[in-house]
Amino acid sequence: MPPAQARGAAGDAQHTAQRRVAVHSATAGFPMVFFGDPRPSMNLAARAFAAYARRMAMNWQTTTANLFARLTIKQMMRRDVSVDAMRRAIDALERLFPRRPADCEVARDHPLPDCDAEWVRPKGAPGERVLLHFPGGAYVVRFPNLERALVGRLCQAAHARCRLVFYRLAPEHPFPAGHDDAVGAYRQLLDLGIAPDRIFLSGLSAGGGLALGALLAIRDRGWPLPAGAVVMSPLTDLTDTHQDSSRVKNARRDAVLSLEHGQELREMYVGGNAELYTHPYVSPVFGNYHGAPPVLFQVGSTEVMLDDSRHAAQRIRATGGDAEVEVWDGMPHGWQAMPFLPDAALAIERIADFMRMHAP
Amino acid sequence: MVSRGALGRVCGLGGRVGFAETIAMKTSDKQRPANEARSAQAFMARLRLDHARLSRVLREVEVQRARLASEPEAARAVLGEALHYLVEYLHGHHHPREDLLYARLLPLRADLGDELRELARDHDGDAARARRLSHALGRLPAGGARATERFARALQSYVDETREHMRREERAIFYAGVEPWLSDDEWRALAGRALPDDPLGDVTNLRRRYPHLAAALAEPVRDVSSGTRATAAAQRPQERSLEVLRDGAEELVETYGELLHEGFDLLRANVAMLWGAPSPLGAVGALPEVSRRSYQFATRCFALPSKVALECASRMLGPVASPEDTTGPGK
Repeated sequence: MPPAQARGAAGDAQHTAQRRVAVHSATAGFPMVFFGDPRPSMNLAARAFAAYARRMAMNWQTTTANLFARLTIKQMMRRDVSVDAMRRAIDALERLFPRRPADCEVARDHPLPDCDAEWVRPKGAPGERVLLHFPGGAYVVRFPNLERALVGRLCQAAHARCRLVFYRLAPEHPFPAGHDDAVGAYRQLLDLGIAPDRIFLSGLSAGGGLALGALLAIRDRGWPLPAGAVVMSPLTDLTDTHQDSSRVKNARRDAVLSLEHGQELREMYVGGNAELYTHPYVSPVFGNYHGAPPVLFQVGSTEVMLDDSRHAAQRIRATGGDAEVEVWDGMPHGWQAMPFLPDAALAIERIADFMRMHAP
Repeated sequence: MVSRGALGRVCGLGGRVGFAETIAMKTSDKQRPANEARSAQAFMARLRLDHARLSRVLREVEVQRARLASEPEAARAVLGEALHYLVEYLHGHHHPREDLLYARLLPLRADLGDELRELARDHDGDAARARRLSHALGRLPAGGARATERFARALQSYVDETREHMRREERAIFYAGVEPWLSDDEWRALAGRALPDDPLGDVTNLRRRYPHLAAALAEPVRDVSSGTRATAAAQRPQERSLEVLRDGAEELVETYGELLHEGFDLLRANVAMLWGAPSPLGAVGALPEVSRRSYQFATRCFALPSKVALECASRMLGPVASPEDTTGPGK
């Protein structure tokens, strides 16, 4: 391309760039660019407002979910409520979701000694891979129906069956109870004759941290390793956070989580033993992942736990492991479990691709 | 960009050609012993591996599709190579092998007939789509927003349908225990067809043939989002105003959420106070306290959101004018 033409093209691109406003595509769930009318007569604030309104309207499902979460879950987390009150509120919320995911069967065969566990199997689909999934909920609460629906859709996308482990919760059962349940559930899969290279550990939020902790424990015990791990917005660091971390910077922007009572929650998990905060099974960001299988992280760009994923992935790579981080624009914590969001379906498809990549 | 030679090869190996080959079948659908299935396993393992690698490329196509608007040149370079790979390898070599397999399975498994025929039809249609997308990418005008958006939608649709196609194949064939359905000789005949090296199977080869795609696949962090673009965009006054406005709106929603819950608490407390009064006269006596609390709450309902709105407005009118200042509000 001649220099003058190149300059012209660059100039055009720059001019166009100044006119465009990023919006989210409601149909595909991916950020698109809307090249709005520049309307030079409009002042800056009016143009920004118009762009904001357009952006909200284009991705109305995410906007609505964020609004709902901001008005309910986040407010509940900010208020001084007991664990019992939180569990009651979650039970009420859970009634909105079906107990059994569509086109899946739920069975309770192969019980675990210390906790509940279920098999979620898509009807009429091959359970070629096995997903060992740990639910989220800050280690103190859980959303069973929501998690069942999530793993049901994951299984359908990935031709998998899921072992959903309802590990013991704090404060009644502090660490290592839940961790032991997770590792024991993996051992059970091996004992059932399931090939380890068809197994993926997965978890949402605190369940993601538990999955990574279990991965380290499995490696440390010298057991055959799973094919990989998929963690969704995992909690990987229970230590104090720095002022420049996402826990501080995204505190206001996160639509779901508020860490105002984070200190109490983490104390519950370790049973008041502060020395455990840096234990790799509690805070997997401190683990050594040499020899560990690949890990996929999915996290929203506005989440307070964004750095948990970034730092854990850095740590995995630094210690010889393989990790990939997907940072999703503006997605709320646990969006994969919200079936009405277009981005949830996409995230699940990408997880299924990851599973196919590592267990063809 | 797809070369004419590559396109010619793809056209020459169209799925229907392979599928239409009728080869005399030597086996019944009675299950064969497992020790005869080594060739079968090798053949099927290769098909599975192809799907694994295709998944890797499709994921990357999706990421680059999201970058098309913000970093068009970089995204186009990767997408061009990815589409070339899909046309050349997926549609040029992988699908014809599948078609040969389906042609052999068709007389044996009448129950799968419709599915097999449909899968083969998909191969033809998808090959044409991939070629069209590859051409369209080359013709995409620089800065053509609507054309870019249309292209991105078509690309995503192609990715979605390719995934669904793979899933159907896996359910019907790959994970259905297909190995015993054909004899070892038949599997050997299928596997005997020379298959070029998949560029994705060797990093050096991949870097040589598809340098941009290789670099993109090696990225450890993927913005399936506008993370990179938002940083650059934040330097522009309008974009920065948008950030401030979004932050303000979120803060306002949170404030209202807080007030809503406070309101519920107040209502509960007021009802408890009035209901818990020992007598109607006592309830009347509690009214001043109820009124005082309610008045305080009403004041907060007015003052708090106004304060947030004013702060947001002052941030918008503040340092947003300087495009050089990258540490604008909301950052």
